[in-house]
Amino acid sequence: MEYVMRTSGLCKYYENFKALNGLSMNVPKGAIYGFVGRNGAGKTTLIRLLCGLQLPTQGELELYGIKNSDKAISKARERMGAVVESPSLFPEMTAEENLKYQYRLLGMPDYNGIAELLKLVGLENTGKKKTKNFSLGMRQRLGIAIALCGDPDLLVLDEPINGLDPQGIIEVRELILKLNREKKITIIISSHILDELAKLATHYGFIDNGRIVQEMSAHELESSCRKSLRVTVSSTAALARVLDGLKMEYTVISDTEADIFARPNISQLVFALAEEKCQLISCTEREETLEGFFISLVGGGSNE
Amino acid sequence: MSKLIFADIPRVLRSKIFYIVLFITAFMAAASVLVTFADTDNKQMVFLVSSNNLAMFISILMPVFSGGLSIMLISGEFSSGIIRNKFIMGHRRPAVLLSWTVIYSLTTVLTYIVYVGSYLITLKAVGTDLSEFDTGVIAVNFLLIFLFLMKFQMFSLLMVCIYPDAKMSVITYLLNNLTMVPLLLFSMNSADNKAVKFLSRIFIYGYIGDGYSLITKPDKPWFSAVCILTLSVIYMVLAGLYFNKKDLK
Repeated sequence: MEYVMRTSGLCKYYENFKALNGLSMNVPKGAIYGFVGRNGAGKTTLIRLLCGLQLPTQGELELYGIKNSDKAISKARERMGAVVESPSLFPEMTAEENLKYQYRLLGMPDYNGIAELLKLVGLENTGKKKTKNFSLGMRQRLGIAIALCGDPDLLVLDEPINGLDPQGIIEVRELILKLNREKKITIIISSHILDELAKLATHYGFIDNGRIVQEMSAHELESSCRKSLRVTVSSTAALARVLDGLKMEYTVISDTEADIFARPNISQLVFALAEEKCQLISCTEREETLEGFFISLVGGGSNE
Repeated sequence: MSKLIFADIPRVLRSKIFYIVLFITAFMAAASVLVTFADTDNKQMVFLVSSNNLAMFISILMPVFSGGLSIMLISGEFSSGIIRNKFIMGHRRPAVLLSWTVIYSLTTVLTYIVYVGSYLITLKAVGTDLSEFDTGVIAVNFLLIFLFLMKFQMFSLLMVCIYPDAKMSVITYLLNNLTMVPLLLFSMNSADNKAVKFLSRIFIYGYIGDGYSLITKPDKPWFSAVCILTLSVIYMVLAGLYFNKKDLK
């Protein structure tokens, strides 16, 4: 698998506080990587390191295979765009003027593409309205447009839906999906609004206390969160033979436990297992949400 | 670095505060001549007296205006988060710092040209003939004053690298300027003191104590220029050290 961004044992210490403590993560190309964690878990710190706003205390960060210790990392950063915390805008300028400034920073030869960018984020009719008079949603979308100047391959969005109204959330979500699907942009999106993230992400990284607790694809997460029947048997090998015969989907957890993703007739299952000389010891119905999964990973406390 | 400079120059030129500073400097230059002109019939005396007013303005108020302008414009980048965009786009810290140095040196040049221009035009308008004075000495003095202003620009750059918050850096900048007042007072009574003479090369207040005037031939101007430039470079290196290690939000 090709990775856009990787970190290994990344640490960032502020005096005695360990914001990142040996964080290792891998962002596959083309993914929408949902970066999940509580407030203070280290999400924004990682994004700051990724954007070059801060330097790591220890560990390595690779962007397009270029390590952060390499001077060429600045060149690699030209291929990314980011909105860190709040959109970086000049309040006295219009949306178009802000984009023009960004184009000049990038050294673009002309301003072609600004109209298209404004249209993409739905701000084509803002005219001479200064950004200080924009709504939060409009500022967020302009922030994304600014991050898209120069056609980046990687977009980093830090809590992009924080403070938005429901309509604003839908607009930003649709924009993110459009960028990923149509422009093939890899997106790293940090959030603690899990339901919203679940509608977007193709991959997840769960962060707690400055470390990645688990990385998984949306498919793997879906499997973990699907409604299932957790059965405890004397032999999962026998159970597997029975379930194969019944054409049921299942995942073996251990020698004695398995999850069945169907609603089997329990009597039929017990008889079939008995024929295989296998005992059904217990069965429990399970269903987990992303939130539940996250809590089971990091515990229920708060970092705040 | 050229991308940074070309992006920021139009921004500075569009800023209202830049034109307010230009207007104030032009007004003060013209006023220093006109106020003197109202008090004397001797047109040549207008220059002699007003050049003292000019020294006072340039040494005390102009660093506040031009340094304050730079601090506010750079701090605006921190408060709006624009500085983040520069790094995300791959611009390196030394390049950002150097681009600021170039841009705010240009604003100092422009402010100074407007000041001197307004001063000379008003002098001409009231009928003062500068050809009677040693124009070479006047030019050297103007150049030394310019270097002195540049030193303040570098100092303001250092302040903004230490305190990105505009209010904090402006206050610190002004407080640091005030620390030079004792030197000014000391130099008035100890013009022959060697230490005071040396410091006078760096802090133009010393010239005032020694009866500074634009027509006074400066003592070892090249040595003064080297002293001022050395201090400017020290400020800039310190700014670079602070900025390179700074964690940005």
